[in-house]
Amino acid sequence: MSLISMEFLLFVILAVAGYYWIPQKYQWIWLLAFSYIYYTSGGIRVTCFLVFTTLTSWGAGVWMEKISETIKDKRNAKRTKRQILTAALVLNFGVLGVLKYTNFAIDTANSLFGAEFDRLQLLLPLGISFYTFQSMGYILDVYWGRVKAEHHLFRFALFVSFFPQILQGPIGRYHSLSQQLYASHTFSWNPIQQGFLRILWGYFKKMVIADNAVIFVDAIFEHPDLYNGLGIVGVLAYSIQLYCDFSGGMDVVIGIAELFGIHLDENFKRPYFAVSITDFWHRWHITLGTWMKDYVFYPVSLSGWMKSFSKFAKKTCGKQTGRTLPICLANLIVFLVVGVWHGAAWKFIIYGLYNGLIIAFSGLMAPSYRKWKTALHITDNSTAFHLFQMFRTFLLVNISWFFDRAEDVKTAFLMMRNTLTHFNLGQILEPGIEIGEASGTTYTLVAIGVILAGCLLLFVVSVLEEQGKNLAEIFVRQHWLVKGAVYLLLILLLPALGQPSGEAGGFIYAQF
Amino acid sequence: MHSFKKALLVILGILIAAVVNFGLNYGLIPYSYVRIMMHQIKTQEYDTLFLGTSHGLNGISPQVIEEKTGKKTMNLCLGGEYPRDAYYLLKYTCKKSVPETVVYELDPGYFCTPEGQRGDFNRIFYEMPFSSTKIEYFFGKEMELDFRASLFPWFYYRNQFRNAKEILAVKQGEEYKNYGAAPFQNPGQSFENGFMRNHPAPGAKPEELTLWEEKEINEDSFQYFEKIASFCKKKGIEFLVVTTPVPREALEKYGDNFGEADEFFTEYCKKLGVEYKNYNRPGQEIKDFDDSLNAFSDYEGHMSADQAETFSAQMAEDLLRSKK
Amino acid sequence: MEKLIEILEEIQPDAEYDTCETLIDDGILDSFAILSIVSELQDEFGITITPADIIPDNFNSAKALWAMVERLQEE
Repeated sequence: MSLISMEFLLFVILAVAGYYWIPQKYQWIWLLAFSYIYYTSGGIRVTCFLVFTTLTSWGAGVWMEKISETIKDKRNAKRTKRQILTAALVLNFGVLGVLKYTNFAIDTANSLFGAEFDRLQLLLPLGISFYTFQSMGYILDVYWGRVKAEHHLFRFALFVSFFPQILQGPIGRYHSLSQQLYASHTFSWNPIQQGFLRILWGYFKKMVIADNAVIFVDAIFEHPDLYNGLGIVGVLAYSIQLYCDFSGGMDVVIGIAELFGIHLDENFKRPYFAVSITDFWHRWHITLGTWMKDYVFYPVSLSGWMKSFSKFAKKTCGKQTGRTLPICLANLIVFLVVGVWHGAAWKFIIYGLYNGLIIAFSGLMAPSYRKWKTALHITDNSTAFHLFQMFRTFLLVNISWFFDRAEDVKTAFLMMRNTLTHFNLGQILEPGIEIGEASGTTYTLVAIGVILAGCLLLFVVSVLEEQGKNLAEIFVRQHWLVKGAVYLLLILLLPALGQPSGEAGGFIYAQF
Repeated sequence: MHSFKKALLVILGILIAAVVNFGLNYGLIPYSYVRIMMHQIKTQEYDTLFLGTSHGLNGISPQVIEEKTGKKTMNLCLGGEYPRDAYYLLKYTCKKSVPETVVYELDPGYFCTPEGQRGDFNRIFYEMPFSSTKIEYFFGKEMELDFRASLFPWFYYRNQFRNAKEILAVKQGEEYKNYGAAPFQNPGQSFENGFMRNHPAPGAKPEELTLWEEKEINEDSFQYFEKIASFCKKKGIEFLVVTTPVPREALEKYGDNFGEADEFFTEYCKKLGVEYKNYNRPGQEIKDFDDSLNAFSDYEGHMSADQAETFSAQMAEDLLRSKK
Repeated sequence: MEKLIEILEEIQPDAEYDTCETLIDDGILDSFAILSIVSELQDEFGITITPADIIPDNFNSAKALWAMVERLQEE
């Protein structure tokens, strides 16, 4: 059930209406039922994987807690808990790994050793990486004693499967999400109004901005020879498309959850205003970043062998560098994982390492930067320096998008080179960039106009939000005529300026 | 009371949106002959019904078939009509009266491509008068689509705003009110006598065509095709399947592919117990038929009006023969 | 405690460690800084900090950090 399909719309209306109509103590059961209806509509077989993850993580949580309570010897208890944890992690990440990366391994083996293994036909349950990450985070939290285990299997099942977020995140945390899911929610107009606005805004970003931008992205990235002068247009369009597609989807998801009175974690905070790559990852796909930080970065950094490496590094490279070096290594590992998470291909590994290396480098250089800034009398507060940092980060991010979107690593490099040597903006008006039912100059210009106008609106909204204004709350306080007009306008803009959303009407991140 | 007022505002908002939406539908969606077809099957009874694609729309003259067979004939073939749409068209037709014979004009391309989302693809649903079949059609087709398809039908015609004046003029005219076909009379193509009369211009012809691709099967198309077959069986309707001829040049160029498709669908129809006649099979005779590219508007096989009449005469004869 | 403040100032000089209680919540300490602090604390006080200890409550102020160090020293 795609987020933009008619059935999804009716499904949500039915779910929300019933949610406030039934007695409040059954609300969470209602959500669970709808979550499972939603997921099984994608197939019964894939649901087995969801049930498997639910059962193993629920069981592991309960079991680990029981061990803490029953085994008195602390060391003994810890060892047993560790075994349970390892088993649950291996099982679940194992399933994810096998389903997602077997064919990549086969392809790599075939090209490296000239072997001829056939690719396998594997099921890839929708949203598997999102719900796996969410559940594994929960198990680790229980293991570390940060949360109490959930004993009620069906309540836990709702935490894993809550339907607005299961397909593309945001990845929820047990301590903040679970209580909201199980609590009773009384009907109130404010969350409904805000949620509805958020949903429309999300559709606007997806249908009007991203789906217009994608025409240029596809044309340019799929014909790098034909449009060799447009690499920069392609990558800028891609940065618009990717952000609007992904964050627009998140707006829809978060808005729907809001209709139920449930606040999901934000996944985006104006990423293109970031002043460094580190800052970018604090603003882009935030829940993945914090997940990686808490469950990969810290554990790896604090592991025994990292400690030994730290001692060794401090001895050989001096205190400061020696201290930072292991952190940089852990950071590289995290971004390797992030890269692989994005897809089973070498270009994604490079994409991840590129980000990791920049962050590691700036981590190592931080003390030097501080000295230089003092020497050059640059203060962090100066607007010019701030803008320079934003521009630099945006540039670095766009370089990484070449790897993300181009067919393969080689094409990415080729396109970057052509961007510098063959720049030719005129190609954009050449026929061939097909838009909707017609091709040629007129529609290309219309689409460019729509993208630019959409981005301008997005920019204004972003600046206001960056200044700390809560636009949804301001909106709710307006006169009903104003609110009605905004709703109507946004609704009509979706068909008026939007493009059909691909054959399947999918969001990019729904495939993960 | 407060909540009641808010609920009223919501309803008011929906009403305003509906009115604006209706206005946009009226002003942006051009008059289409699909509306005429819908009116005909709603008000008249037919003995022979053709379902299928643009090849059938261009290649089958119901008038000629009617004259030869003496059976009242309706051509419901349309460009972009997938088996799914054909199934609901058939069901809707049967609400008025059940035909004796249904002929499905089969284009293998419709069985190996996804149902697209452009142009007129949603027109049949849009023009179908409100009925239980339309509701069923909604669940069978619209539910999976972008919500803009059913909520804002003008979405696919948003570029028509330049022509809004003409569209409105036509819709306020007599022809529209009386389900007339006069607005569809154009020099190259005209909708007349229940089919699309095609007058191809001489010169180079478009070569693109969707070839049969067994790996790219559209399972829904097969499923709905089978639904049509079993619906006919249940209603006691004779069900036949044909593929219209394509130009000789296309056969020479893509002979292997046409052969594969023919083999596949012959086998498939045999399994379903359905008679399949492919006019591209070697040895198929069509009396007085010009199968050169000159008589078509493209490689794909959209016939000229004259050829369509010749072909229809042959098909009528074959129909009569299959009756015996 | 003094030693702790010294460590903090060396790693991230731009903060008021005596008064600030939102070192994490306001993003003054990023993950690099946190791990640098952890590394120094482990060396300096001979404690073992595990991932379970890395929660905002333990890092939001110098006071909280010191409480964590003392707790871990006892274990």
